[in-house]
Order: sequence, then C-alpha cells, then structure tokens
Amino acid sequence: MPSPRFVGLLRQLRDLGVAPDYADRLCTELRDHYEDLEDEALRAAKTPLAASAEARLRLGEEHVIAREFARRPELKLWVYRSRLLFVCLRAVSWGLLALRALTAALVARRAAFARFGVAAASAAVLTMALLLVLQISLGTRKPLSSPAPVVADSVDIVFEHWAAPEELVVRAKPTKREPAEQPERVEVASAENVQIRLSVDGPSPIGAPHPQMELAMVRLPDGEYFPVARVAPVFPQRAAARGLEGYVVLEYTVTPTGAVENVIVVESSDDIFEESAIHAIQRFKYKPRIVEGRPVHVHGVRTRVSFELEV
Amino acid sequence: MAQSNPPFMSGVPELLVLRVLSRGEMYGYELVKTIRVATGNAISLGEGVVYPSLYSLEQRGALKARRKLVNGRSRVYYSITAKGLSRLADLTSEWHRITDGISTALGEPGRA
Repeated sequence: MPSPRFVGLLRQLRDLGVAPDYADRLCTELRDHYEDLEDEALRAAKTPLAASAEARLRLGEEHVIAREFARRPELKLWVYRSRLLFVCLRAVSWGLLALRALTAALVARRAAFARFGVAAASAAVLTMALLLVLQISLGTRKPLSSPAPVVADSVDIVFEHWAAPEELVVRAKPTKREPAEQPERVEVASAENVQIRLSVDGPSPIGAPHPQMELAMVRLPDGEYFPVARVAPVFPQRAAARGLEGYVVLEYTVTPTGAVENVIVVESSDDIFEESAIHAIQRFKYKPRIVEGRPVHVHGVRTRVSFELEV
Repeated sequence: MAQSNPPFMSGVPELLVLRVLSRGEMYGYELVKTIRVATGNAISLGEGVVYPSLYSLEQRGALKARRKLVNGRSRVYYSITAKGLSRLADLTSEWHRITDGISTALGEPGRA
C-alpha cells in the first residue's frame, strides 16, 4: 500500500504506463528515503517542520521523478512502449467498455425493451393494414403486400400512353344567338369507354366558360388513370360565325396529382380551334394512374376535341 | 573509428551508481548519501531521481535488488552484477577518454 504522500506520483506513473511493480516499489522506497532524510535533519537539530521541508526538497518534485520514468521505456508496460499499439489497444478497450455498458443496459431494462419491441411491431402491422385498406379502397389492382416486380427502387417508372385518344365533341349553333333558357348539354365521348355527360348551366358555350359540371362516373380498370373533371371547350365565336367545324388532337401528360401539363397540339383542322381546346384541356382533372401503391406520371395522353355545329 | 560522444552529463549518474555499488550493496538513501559525500556535493540532484536509474540498471541486468530487514525496516538493497561491472568498465573508459580530451584542450599537463 503506497504512502498517501505519494498517491499523486503513483497516479502520474500509471498514466505514463510505468509497470505497476516499479510504481509501487518506488513509492515504498521514496517513503523510506523521505523518513531517512527527516531523521538526518532532526539529528542535525532542526525542527520537525524544517526537517520535513528539507526532506521534501532533497527528494525532489514528483513531476521531475515522473519525467525520469517517462524517458525510460524499459520501465513501462509493453503496451505503452509502442505509441500506435497503445492507441489501438485503448480504442479497442473503449469499444469493449461501451459494448459492456450497452449489454448491461439491455439486460437491466429487458422488460422495457420487450414492451418497446411489441409496441413497434404492433404499430407496423396496424400501419400496413391501414395502407392495405387505403389501397383497396382506391381500387388499385395490386395490394401493397404483393411482391414487387423486378424494378430497381431508384428507377422512376414512366408509362407511355398509346391508347386511342379520347374524344370530346363540342356542339354549338352556327350563328350567335340569345342565351338559351334551358341548360345546354355537351356530350363527351371517350375511346376508353368513358361516358361523361356535362350539364352546363347558363348560356351557350359560345363565348364563355362553364363553371359547373355534373359528372357521371363509370367503372374503370383498377389502378388506371381516368378523368374525374372535364371542362367543355368554348366554341370559338369566329368559327361559329363563319360556320366552321373542325377538330384538334392534343397530347399531354397526366401528373401524379391528376393535373394536366405539357399540352401540345398534335393535329388540328384549323388553328382557330386550338386555343379553346388547349384552354379546356388544361383545366381537366384526372385520378392518376397508381402503380405499386403510388401515383405516377402518364405521358402521351391524347384527346381529340371536335367542334360541330348543330343543324 | 571515432565514437560519438554522449551529452556531457549523460551517463554520469549511472557511472557513479555503478562505481559506488561496486564497493558493496546499498539501499537508496545510503547510495545517494555516499555519492554526495564522494563528489563533495559537486553533483546535486533530486534524490528521488536516483530510483529510475536503479530500476533501469536492474532491468538491463547491471544490478540486482533484494529486500532486507534492517532494524525492523524492510529496505531494498542493490548490488552490482558481472554485467554491471563490465558496464562500469566501459563507462569509466569513456569518461577518461572525454576528460583527457578536455584536459588536453585546456592545456593541463600529464593528462594527455
């Protein structure tokens, strides 16, 4: 057991990696040496206080002694003789201590971790069930639990639409006339067996947009996109005045939000109809196509808008 | 082939320890006191510093240490080994070589 007087020195030596045998032996020998120095001073008729001070002075300061050990690697533990080895071993020891603490925490709070695990699993199952119900209610073809096709996660799936274009027929009187008393009906026909009848309140479609629509939904393939709101185009006044009929074929993209964007004119009989057709198509709203539980873009959607005059 | 000289005072404590212990075994306090008297207080070091030197010499086999009960107190006594004597001869030779060179440089007669 080292003397309390040299506890600080002992700590310094151990921090330096001095072998414990040498550190302990040094403390014992320094204690004896100190007592011998005190006895010598007392024999020289010095006071106990002065004898103690002289003994401390002659023995030297602790950090000087520790420095002498520091520059003698042969007195250190072998792990301290190589700096790199020492650093590596210290890192490993810290890792083991952290692992031990983690293991102890896991064992001590086993019940809490078990409750947490059960709660997390229950939450996951409930979430999956809710998503499944949502998926089914949206009428998608594949449930969420179905195995994913061979498609990488990072690839954005893009579907080109090559079906025959939808067709929208706009009919109007050949000449400008007073607003009709009864709402005028505009028939919209679709090449995908979609039948939507628009009941337009107010005056003739000529010269004004139609603020209200009545939608009739039909059965559609699960997961496929389909229009949920259409706006009837306005029959251009100039065309009606000249008794012109015609059509415009438009191509566009249905976004995951169901909006229409990137509208281009593929074909038209007369550019007099194009602005009206584009304006109407841009206000269409779709239910987007759902693939693997998420809405995707549908490019290349085509709609043919026909402008016909009533006889 | 010329030998490189160690720092001027480096090795002096080791030389003195080995020289004093060549006369007989001693413990730490006794050893330091003998060195102080033998050098006429010319060399003043913190006495605690002698112990790292003793341990280092013991580690290299130049000294042996053993515990001995004297007047009811357990002390560690150090004694020189054959290897220590050989080391003492080398250090003494080296010391004379250096001091002779310095004496020659200083122009002292009879030392060269």
